[in-house]
Amino acid sequence: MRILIIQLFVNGLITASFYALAGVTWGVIYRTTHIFHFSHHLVFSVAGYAAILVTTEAHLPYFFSFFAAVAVAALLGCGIDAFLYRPLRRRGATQATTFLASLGLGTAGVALLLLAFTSSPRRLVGFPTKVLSIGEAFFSPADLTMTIISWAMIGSLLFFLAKSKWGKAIRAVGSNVEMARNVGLNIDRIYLLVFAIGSGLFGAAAFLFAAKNVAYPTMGIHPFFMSFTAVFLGGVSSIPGHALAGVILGFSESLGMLVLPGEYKTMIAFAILFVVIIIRPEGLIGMKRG
Amino acid sequence: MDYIFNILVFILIYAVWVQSLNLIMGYVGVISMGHAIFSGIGAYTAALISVHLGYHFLVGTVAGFLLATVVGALLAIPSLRVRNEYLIVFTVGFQMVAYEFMITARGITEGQGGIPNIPSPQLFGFAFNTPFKFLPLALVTTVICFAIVWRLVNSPFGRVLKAIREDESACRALGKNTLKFKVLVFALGGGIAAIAGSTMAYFITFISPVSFSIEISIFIIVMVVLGGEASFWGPLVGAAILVGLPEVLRFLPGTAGFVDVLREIFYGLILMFMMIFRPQGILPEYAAKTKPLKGFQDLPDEADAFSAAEERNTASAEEKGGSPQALEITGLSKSFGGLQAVKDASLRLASGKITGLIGPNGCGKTTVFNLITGFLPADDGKVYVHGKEITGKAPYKLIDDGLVRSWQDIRIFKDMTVLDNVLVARPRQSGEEILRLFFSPWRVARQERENVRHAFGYLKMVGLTDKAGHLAGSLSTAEQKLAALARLMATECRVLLLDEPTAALDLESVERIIKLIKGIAKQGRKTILLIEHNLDVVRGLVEEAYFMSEGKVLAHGEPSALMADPKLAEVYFGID
Repeated sequence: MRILIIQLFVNGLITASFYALAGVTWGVIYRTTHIFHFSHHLVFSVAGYAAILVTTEAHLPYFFSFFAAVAVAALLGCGIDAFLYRPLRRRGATQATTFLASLGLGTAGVALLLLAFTSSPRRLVGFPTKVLSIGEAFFSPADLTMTIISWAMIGSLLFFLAKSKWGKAIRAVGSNVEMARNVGLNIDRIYLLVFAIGSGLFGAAAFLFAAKNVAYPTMGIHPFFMSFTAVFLGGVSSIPGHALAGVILGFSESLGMLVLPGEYKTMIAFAILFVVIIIRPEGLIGMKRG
Repeated sequence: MDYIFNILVFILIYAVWVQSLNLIMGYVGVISMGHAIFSGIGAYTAALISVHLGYHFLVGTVAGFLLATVVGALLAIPSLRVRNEYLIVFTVGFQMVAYEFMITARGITEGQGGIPNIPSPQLFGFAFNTPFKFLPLALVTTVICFAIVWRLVNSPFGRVLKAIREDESACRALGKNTLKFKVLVFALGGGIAAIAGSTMAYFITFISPVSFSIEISIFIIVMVVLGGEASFWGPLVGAAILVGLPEVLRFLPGTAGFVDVLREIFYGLILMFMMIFRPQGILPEYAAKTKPLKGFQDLPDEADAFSAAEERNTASAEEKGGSPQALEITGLSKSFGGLQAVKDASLRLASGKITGLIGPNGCGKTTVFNLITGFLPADDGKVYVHGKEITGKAPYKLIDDGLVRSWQDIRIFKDMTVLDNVLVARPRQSGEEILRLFFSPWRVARQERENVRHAFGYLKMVGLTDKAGHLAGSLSTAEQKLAALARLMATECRVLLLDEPTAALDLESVERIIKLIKGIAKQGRKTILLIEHNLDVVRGLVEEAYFMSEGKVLAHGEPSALMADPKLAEVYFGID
């Protein structure tokens, strides 16, 4: 029992890191643009395949997969903003309209991936698989990479948002678009930047996922579900809140297995969100929007 | 032939399913990502009740309807209370969790394999057990469900739904509990989807989780969008095209899996391209709109608005004890983060007078309005209307206390007719209650005629009777402001808060509105608090004004006296 708890705790830490990263990627986009960017899951899947193809088709070492995933994801994210959301924005489309367009893109995109690669899972070739251990806890090199890279990326993002000139501009746009426009910020450019950052980081997450598990066309759905759940659970206005909520979701999923079968992991996340929103609509550490 | 009837029955079932989502998505503008599950609730409830308990299919259908309605309300209340997009989050989660439940709770749902051998429905000894025999049942179900939706959307209730979709805040300011409307519609939409689900279960006599996956939820959304959101016949068109299409695709070469993938691509592209190029769908909502107006001819001559409007009002004001202060505010404060937007503001408005609220841009005037009307919670301070405290009351409740506000940016409901804009503001409409709508239709109709008569009175007052049937968005800015005034008057409130009623207008229109406001205050015996930038307007209308700067009330008195004060003039005009 003790060994089980230790192992579940370690698994929880790994999952928590991944969900925390997933949370901030969508969070930075949603907090800034208020676009319900549903095709985020497509970005994940495409990045996942980019990572795989670098090793299987281009025969490059898996090290390059990481950069390919990030670059492809960032490009795709920017493309979606520039060619789908921006025209809709110009026309004054409602949030619901933008959401539906995004939903359509995600649906069509995943089906295209299915057409191109079929539903059979693909492996990231060459990633080390030797099992590691600390004391009684076991984990794979992919688990270790996932944990370290996730937190490195979350840390860099938070630092960038807090300290850099662009980071401040992003926060300003997220808090009050009108005021930001009035002080001369180019909103379209900032949206593009945010989509590049959010998508690029989600692409990194896709690489980590593909290294740990496998890639398949719908691989983005579950991470995306966790990312927006983390955003609303933590509170839309607070990006550290999204990471915190991701941690809570990761640990509760893992430790929940002590009492519930694994099939119920979505249920645990949803139950937590449901209860928190009833008690605290603004999220765990979010502020009320006026 | 059975093949054709089979398709027809499916089109009818899907039409009901799509209509139920259209009610939610089209008419109120909120999105459900879990609409397949509501059908699933109907299907499983019906199947379990009929298979295990052997009950009649009508029992199963009604039980499914009720359960789905309750579940719908439980999802909608906590999420819509916050913001519309929380419902997307909740319904995606609900869809995934409920789907997992269908698959894993084998003890109840029999898992992936589904529930077979559901008895075919029977009525008076007639068994609906072939596609041909089932067709009448499907048709009747469809007609009933469509009739219910028709009644809902073409009624005072539906008028409020449209107003919510157009501008929810403006709708709340007119006294509508928008949350209640949204929750009711979502719950009812879920219930109707459950009817589609149970009908499907009884038709196929077998159900399994696959029919209620997230792909199906998206499929239903695609049908709504294709047919046209908020278009009554759109769901039938959407369902006919998209249920028929796979039957055509069936003749394409390739494996079934390949065709399925093609279909997904196609659905996604429809959704995306419809949103980009034709968001209104195949049958747009106003394809045949600008309805002929009844009631205009029998408008009585004496329907001079000021008197017509006042029938009920005068009595109620006397009843309320006639406190000399129509509106009193003491020590109102509000800060946003570090910024003190309003600080210790106190105002008193004498009954029947127009009082001005002036000051430089950004001094907190509109924030004061938002605090009074409950759109923002005050940090401190109290608000009284006719001596009754209303501090912190929800915006929609203030109509009952006789207080209503206008908006700087007009916020007319642009895609509704001018007449509907005024009608929606009428208080205490029994046609806004679902039960009354269906069980006392004559009373609703009588009241509606009465309201139309009143509405024309108000339109006459502002001189817009000839534009009654036009879409409000097609009016000029000046006309929109007049329509907004008529809408405000239609609430019958005694205290009006006007936020820059003459901003951005030409001189002639300004004159017209000044005259109108004077008339409203005098003949209509209204108390008015007026935010205004144009000092000529202020001088022309107001005997007493409050001067605000940086969130504080600096002075009050006669407007010319205030303006003569060099210190205030400096603050106002920013002269050194």
